[in-house]
Amino acid sequence: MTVFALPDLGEGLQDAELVAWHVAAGDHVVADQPLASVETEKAVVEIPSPRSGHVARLCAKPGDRVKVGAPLVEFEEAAHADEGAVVGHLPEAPAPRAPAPRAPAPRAPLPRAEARRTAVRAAPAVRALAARLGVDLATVPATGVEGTITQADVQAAAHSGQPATAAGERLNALRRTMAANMARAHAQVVPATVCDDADIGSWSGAETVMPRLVRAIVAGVAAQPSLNAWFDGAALTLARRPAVDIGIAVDTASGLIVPVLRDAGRRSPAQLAAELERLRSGAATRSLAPDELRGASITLSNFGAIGGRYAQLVVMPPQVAILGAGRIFPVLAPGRSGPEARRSLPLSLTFDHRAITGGEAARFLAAVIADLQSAT
Amino acid sequence: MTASGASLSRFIGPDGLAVAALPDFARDAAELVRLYRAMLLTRAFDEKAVALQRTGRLGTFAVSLGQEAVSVGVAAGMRAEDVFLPSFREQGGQLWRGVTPLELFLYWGGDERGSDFKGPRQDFPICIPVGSHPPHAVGVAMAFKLRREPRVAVCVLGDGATSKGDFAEAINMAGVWNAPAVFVVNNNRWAISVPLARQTAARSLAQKAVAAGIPGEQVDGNDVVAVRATVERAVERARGGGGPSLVEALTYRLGDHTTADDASRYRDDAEVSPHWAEEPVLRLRRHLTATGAWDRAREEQAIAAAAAAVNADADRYLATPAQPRETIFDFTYAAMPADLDAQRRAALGGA
Repeated sequence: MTVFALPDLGEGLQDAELVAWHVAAGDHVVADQPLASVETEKAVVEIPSPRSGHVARLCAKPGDRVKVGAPLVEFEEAAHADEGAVVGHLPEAPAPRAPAPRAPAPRAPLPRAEARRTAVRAAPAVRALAARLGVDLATVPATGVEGTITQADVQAAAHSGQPATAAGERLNALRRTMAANMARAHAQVVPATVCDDADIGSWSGAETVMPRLVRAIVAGVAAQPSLNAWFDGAALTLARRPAVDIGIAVDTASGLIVPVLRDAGRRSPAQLAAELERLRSGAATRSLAPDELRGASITLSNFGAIGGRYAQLVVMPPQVAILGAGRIFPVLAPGRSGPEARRSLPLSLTFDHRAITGGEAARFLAAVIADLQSAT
Repeated sequence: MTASGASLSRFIGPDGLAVAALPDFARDAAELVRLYRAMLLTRAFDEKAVALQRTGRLGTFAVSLGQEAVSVGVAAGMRAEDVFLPSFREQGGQLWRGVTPLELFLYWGGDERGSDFKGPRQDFPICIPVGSHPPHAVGVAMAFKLRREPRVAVCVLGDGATSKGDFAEAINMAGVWNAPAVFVVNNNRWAISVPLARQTAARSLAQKAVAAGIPGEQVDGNDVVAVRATVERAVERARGGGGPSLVEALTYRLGDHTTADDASRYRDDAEVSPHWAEEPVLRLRRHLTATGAWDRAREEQAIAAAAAAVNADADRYLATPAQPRETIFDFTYAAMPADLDAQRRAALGGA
């Protein structure tokens, strides 16, 4: 049995109404002989037979709406295969035909169409939607024409409440929080980033980076207080924070934790170092109280301790800025007696351009660099 | 020029009788039979293409029913080394110039390999956008001129295309540069559902040549002898340095605009049926029969031969494996832009 499905008779039509049959079950037809008349949104058209053979069944009645891709006619295959080529039985052939097929073996009727059915069938826009929603197209039931997956199919799969992908595992609480916060930040903030390098060649060998970065942020805030503030995008208000409370991004095995170093501007270098160590270890052991993770006025990420030079960072509302430090790298700089190797600390400052101007950000960064480049 | 159509060029009338002394090629019965068979082949190709479209095995297609003499006549007026720039209803001319039915089926089936003609290598692919190709013809013609090659670019466009700026710009610059180009308007009186009377207030389309300062003339587009003779004269004038010209071939679209159209929704049988008496295949058959060069047996043999040729290529087309889907990206840019390259990788199954 071979099924002939209703093709798209226009350009992107969904269905057609059957007007009349020109053949009956049991009839022998030849290729291109009229089978039926159908009416689409665009036209009444005659559908010819795609092949020679015996009609086994008509799959619709006059007046029925047939979906594109739904069965229209079933042809008998094997029983009458020998006669498929016998055009001479007809009282009158509509037009002289090509030489009959040599072999009685049934020929694949639609190799081109079948070749297209080998993979997931989805338009590029549908594929893009699936990628955005994290839906695996191979798991989506297709309801479109000829087995194509539609945007509605993808939406249904995304909202079915079932895991998007068979092998996916649910995020832990920390990562779920990160996902929600990052999505919120991405939806609200208009980020812009400015990068520069600090020449830290004058540092003594014993100095560690983090306390210097904290001190530099305090210096930056002193020069440009608007970066140490909370912005309300709905009310369009910017509230400067009274203290420099620096969120310290800490990478842990469980995920990202950002404890807050309170009032950085009032602490001595020794206190800063001790407090940074307490927060780092507290984050690693998940022993910090929830309050210690809230209320930052600006954030610092020393991602360079792991790797990377510059980054487009994520500003976490209501904050308006985050400073990132990359991996220290050597540069050749002009010295008193020719080029000399210097250590350079790459910096990235991402700010919310809704609240902060580029000039303010650049002044902040310049003050940060000036502080980093000063001797201890 | 003939603005009114009063001096329309015609050699064979609708009744098949000669109305003027025939040009030399038309005194050779074998040559007329060759033209006739080409029109039969075009009609057979169109019928098969529609059958394939109606069974879901070909994309949207534009039949040339009733217009075969324009397409075949234009191509017959060219030399092999000339370049043909067809719009989407010129399969008759393409077949005459050696494009195969297989290549045309592939093209209309969405397979770009169908535009890689094995025969007329430098002929342009089918131009689907209305009237975007006359400027290309000027470019082709200027290439011939700069290389001092005695060749001519022949562009066929529809009546609707003459309302477009591209057409006006093309014939204007062709005139300025004396480019060896011939523009043929296949005036079938309908731009999809827009009749000629609502297309232009001009009394003829040929008179648009006046504005470009080039010759323009009208020819009976249902008389293949007249089309060939007129185009041949225009092409040879261009080849000899005589410059570009415009030919308006008056014919009639007996079929729908395309397989996605139903012309009965915007024009009556009463409007269409008189034109069946003027159609080009019937006209040349009458002429051949009247002059004893044709009979029923030869007619049946010729129709069968045309159908056999078309059906054999239709079978080859259906047996051709579809192109890999990523090839949709492959034929526009010499160097793939990064964004398209990403989409191409996605089409291949990557992220």
